[in-house]
Amino acid sequence: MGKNPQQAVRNFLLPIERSTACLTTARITATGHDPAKQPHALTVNGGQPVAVTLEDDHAVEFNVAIDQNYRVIETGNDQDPWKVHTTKYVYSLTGADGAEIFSYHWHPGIGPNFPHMHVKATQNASVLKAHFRTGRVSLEHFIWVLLTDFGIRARKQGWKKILRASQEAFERGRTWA
Amino acid sequence: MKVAGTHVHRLTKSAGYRLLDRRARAELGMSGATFIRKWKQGKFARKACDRPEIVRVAMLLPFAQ
Repeated sequence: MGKNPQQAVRNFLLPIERSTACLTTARITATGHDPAKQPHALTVNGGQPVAVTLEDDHAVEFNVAIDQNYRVIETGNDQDPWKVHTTKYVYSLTGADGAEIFSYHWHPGIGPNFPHMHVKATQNASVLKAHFRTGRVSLEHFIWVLLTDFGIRARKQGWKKILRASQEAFERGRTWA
Repeated sequence: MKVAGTHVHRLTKSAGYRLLDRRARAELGMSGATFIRKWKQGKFARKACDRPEIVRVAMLLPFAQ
């Protein structure tokens, strides 16, 4: 939310920036805030996969890709007349060899309209093709899974607190789950 | 150039196109220009459903617009 498009985008990007910093020092790139140029996009590491390591091993074990599309819209609310809506997301984890392990997708208008998960670390043909329906998956949840279940090294002290705060902000602002 | 109040960078259109081009070549072995042309022609409409790499490139289209 914000008093103008620029402020709304800043308020949208700040928690994303804080959450992403728990995982990587790679910078975020975005297309900006102009409501006349829609949709917008953001990506991490210049659109290239981010190499990450395990907590106890500095060899590159995985690569991560984070992409979102968003729109800057008017709310009709005098207090905060501008808001940013995420319109698509793709969060992917691949191995050091570049082969996808799993990913969370939501991209209405391209394939299934519902949020879903792909599991690629299998040889089962049905699983490889499946779109496992999910609820809306936050970037914070994706990063949390990487840092806890996959043991990827966190880049920030206090990352749990940071991700929880961003998750709470996300849940306050979202219009669907 | 940065988005005000953040460390997020904004790209010029030509740099945005290069970003898309790199990913299209890495993911699909085609140039960004070829991807954009095929996308506009609807040639990925059916394939995108089963090929996440197409979606990953399409996510960057706003950078080239």
